[in-house]
Amino acid sequence: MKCTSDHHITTSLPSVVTFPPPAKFKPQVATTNRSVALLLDAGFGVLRVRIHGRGGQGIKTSGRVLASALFGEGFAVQDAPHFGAERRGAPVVASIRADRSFVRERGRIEHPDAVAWADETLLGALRRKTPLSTSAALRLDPDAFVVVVVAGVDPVPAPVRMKAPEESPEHAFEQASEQASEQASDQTPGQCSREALGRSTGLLSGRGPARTMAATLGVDEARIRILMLPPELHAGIACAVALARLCGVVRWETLLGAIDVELSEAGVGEAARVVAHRTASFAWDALSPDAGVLHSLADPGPSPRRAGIDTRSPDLGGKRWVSVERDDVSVAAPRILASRTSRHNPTGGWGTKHPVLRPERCRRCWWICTVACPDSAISLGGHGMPTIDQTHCKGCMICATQCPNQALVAVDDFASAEGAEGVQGVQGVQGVQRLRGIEREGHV
Amino acid sequence: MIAGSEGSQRSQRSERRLLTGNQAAAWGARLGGVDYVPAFPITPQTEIIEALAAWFDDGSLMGRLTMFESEHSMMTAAGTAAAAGARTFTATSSQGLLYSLEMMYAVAGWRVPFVMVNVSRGLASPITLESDHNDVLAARDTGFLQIHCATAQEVLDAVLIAFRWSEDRRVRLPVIVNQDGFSLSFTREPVDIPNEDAVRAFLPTRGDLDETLSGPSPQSLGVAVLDGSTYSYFRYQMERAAQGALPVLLDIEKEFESMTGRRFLPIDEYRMHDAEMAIVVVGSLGTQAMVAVDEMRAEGVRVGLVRPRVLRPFPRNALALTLGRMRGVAVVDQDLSPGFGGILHGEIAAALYARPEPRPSLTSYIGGLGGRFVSVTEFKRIVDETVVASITGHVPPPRLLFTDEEARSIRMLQQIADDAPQYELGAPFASGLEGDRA
Repeated sequence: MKCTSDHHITTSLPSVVTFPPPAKFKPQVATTNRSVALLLDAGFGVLRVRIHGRGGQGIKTSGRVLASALFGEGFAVQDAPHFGAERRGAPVVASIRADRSFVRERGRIEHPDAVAWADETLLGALRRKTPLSTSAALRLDPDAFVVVVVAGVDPVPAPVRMKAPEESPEHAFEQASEQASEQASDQTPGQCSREALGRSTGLLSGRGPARTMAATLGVDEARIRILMLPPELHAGIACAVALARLCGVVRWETLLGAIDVELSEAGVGEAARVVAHRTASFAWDALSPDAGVLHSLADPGPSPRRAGIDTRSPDLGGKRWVSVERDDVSVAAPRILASRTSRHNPTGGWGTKHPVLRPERCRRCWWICTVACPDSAISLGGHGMPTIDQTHCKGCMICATQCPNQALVAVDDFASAEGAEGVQGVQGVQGVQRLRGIEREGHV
Repeated sequence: MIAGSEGSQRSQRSERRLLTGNQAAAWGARLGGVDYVPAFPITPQTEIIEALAAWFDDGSLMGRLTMFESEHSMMTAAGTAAAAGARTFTATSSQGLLYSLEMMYAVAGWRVPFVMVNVSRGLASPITLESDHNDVLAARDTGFLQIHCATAQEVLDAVLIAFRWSEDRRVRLPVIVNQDGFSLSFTREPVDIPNEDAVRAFLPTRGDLDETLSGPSPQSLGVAVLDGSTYSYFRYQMERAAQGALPVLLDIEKEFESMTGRRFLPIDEYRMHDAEMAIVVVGSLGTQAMVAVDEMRAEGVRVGLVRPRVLRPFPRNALALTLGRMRGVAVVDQDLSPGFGGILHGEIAAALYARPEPRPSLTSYIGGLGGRFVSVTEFKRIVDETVVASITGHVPPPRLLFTDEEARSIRMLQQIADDAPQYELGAPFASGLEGDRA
C-alpha cells in the first residue's frame, strides 16, 4: 500500500471507542479545588509561545527572560530553546510554556498561542521556494497571535505610520521577499521588505504586509503586529517583551527584574542591559493596545483551544503513520553528495564579514584562494580572477588570510558604504550586504 | 555534618528556581559535597561541568575539577579517585560514554562508588546532537546502576540519592543518572533546591574510608584472575550486589521522602490504580505520556503510565506485578537495537514471562530516536492499537514511528541530493495499516 492512500488512523480503528465500554463521561467542571487541579493537570490554561531568530541574536536569552518573568509571576514554566546546528546565523527557536501547575507536555509547540520572529528574514528565507523548506512549516492556527520584529529601522520623523506602496500594496511584502530570495546577493529580504514597509519605527498597522503574512502563516490578519525596531535596540528582547505584554500577566517591574537576572547570568555588561531596558520600554509601549490579548493564563476556563495539545486534530494532526520499508543501500546510507545538497542551503547569511576582491591587486595565481576556501565558494572567473559565491560564503575569511597580495579584503557586513571606501571590486559593498539578522556590537 | 544553627533540621527552606536539567545535575553534585570532578566536554553535557568549574573557581565548592584528554582517562580517574575515598562526580554523553566504555566495565568491577550523569544523545552514524537512549543502554551490562529521569527536579534528586546508593556497603557500585539531551538538559523547569543542612543530614561525608586506597596502604585494583571460578565469583558478587540494590534504594527513598516530601520509587506509576492498559516509557517522554493518559482518561479509557526510574537493577518483580494484570501494555522505546527492535520491550517481555497466563498483549513502538518528537496524539494512537491487540489477540509487529509528512520530507531531501531518481515522492513508504492489521 502506497503513501497515496486516504486511510486515516481514526477511520481504520472503529473498535477503539468501544473498548473499554464507553464510560460515563463527566464534563469537567471546576467546582472544587481538586477538580481545578485536575483541569490544570490535563493541560487547561497552558500558555504556549515561540520565539524565532538566528544563532547569535540572543534568542535563548530572550526566551529565558520571558520564562523568568512568567516564573516571577508565580507560573510553572518550561523554557526549551532549540538550536540544532549550534551555529551563528542558523535558525533558533525558543519554546516557552507556562501553566499554574508543572508543565508536562514537551517537544515542539505545534499550536502556539503566539509566535514572535526576531528577524523578518527568517520569514523571507522560509518563503524561498526551495524544496528544503515548505511553507507548511510556517503555518499557524488562524487565531494565533503573531509579532514580527523588523530590526534596524532608522527612525524618520514622518510619517510615523507606514504608507503602503500605491500599486498592489497587498503584495508588497511578498514581492519584496521573492525579489530578495531571487537576488540574494544583491539585496537582503530585510532591506527589501523594509523599503516596502516604509522606514518607520513603532508598530506598523499597514494592511498590505500584514495581509501577505496572514496568507503565508494562515492566521487572521488582525492578529499580526509588525514591530519596526530602531537599530540600536535588541530584536530578541523585543520579542520576549512583546509576548510578555500579550500574556497580560507580567508586570513591568517583574519583566525588568527578569531581564536583569538573565542578562547577568549571560554575563553581558551594563551597556547591553541598558539596551535591553530601552528595548523593553519600546516594545512594552508598542504592544500596550494588545496587552492581555492571550487569555490562556489569565482565564484558565475550559475552551477547545486550551483543552490540551493537538485537540483539534482528529488523528495525528493531519498526519498518519507510514511503514518504513527497506530502501536500496545507495539511498539508505547517510551519505551527502555535497555540492548537490548544499546548493539549496544558502549559508551566506551566517557570517558577519565577507571577502571582497580588489581586482587591481589580484595576480591571477589561479589557485590559492579557490583551494583554501573550505566551502568551495570561490571559483575562477573568466579573467583568471576569483568569483565569490556570496550565497554560500560563510565569512570565515581564510581566503583573505591566505592571499599573499591581499587582493581579498574583509568587509564588515554592517559597515557603512563610507567605511569600505576604496574597495571597488567586482562584488561591491552592496553585494555583500545580504541575508543576516545578526547582533551588532554592543548588543546582547 | 554541618550543625543546624536553628535547631530544626529537616525540610526547611528549599529554594525554588528555574533550572535546566544540566544545572540541576550540577546542583546535585554541589549539594552532595563533591570532592573531585574529572571532566571532558561534550554536547549536550558541557553545561554541567561549566557550572561546576565556576563553583570550584569562586569557592562555592571546595575540591578539584580536572579536565582530561578523553573520556577513557576521565573514567579511569573517576574510578581511582573513588577508590581513594573522594566523593566523585562526572558527566558525559553519547560518543563520550562509548569511548569510556572499556573503563566503565573496569571501574565497576573495582566496586568503587561514584556518580556519573549521562545526558542522552543519539549515537553516530548519522551524527546527531539530540536525545535517544542507545548510548546509556550500551552501558547496561557494565555493572553501573542506572537511574532515568523525567524532569529536572528528578535529575537533582537522583544525583543525591545516587551518592547514598552507590556508597552503601551493600551496593558499592557506580551509578549512572540519565537525563535526555535538549528536552531536559537545555530545558528550564521549576526545581526545588533542598536546604544544604538537610542534604548534609541525608548524605553525610563518605564514611567508608577504612579500606580506601592511599599512599601508605597501596592496593592493586582490577587484578588478573586466570581461572574461570575466581572470575565467576567476582562477577557473581557484582550480580548479587546489583540485585540487592533495590531494597537498599527503598530504604534510602524513605529518608529522602521525609527530607523533601518527594517519592523516588524504582518505578513511577501514574493513574494505574484501576487501569486496564498501560504505556511503558523511560525518561522525559514520560511527562508527555502523562498528558496523553489524562486526555484518554477523560474519554473514558482506563489507561495508565508505568515509567521505570531504575533500569539497573531491573525492577522485574514490581514491573511484572503491575503490568501483569493489564489487558494490554504498549512499550515505547527511545532506542533501537537493529536486528532486535526495542531494548526495553525485550526486557519488559522477559519480566512478564514469569507471570502466569493470561498475560497482557504486549505491543512495541520505536520512537523518539535522535530527538524525534512523539506527540500526545501518537501516544493516544499507540494505546488505541494496543486496545485492538488486546481484543483480537493479534499483536501487530513493532512499529517504527514515522509519519507521511516525515516520509515526504525524506524523499524531498533524497531528490535534492539527486541520489534517488528511482524513487518517486512518497514511494516506497507504505501506510502499513493494512499490512499490520486486517
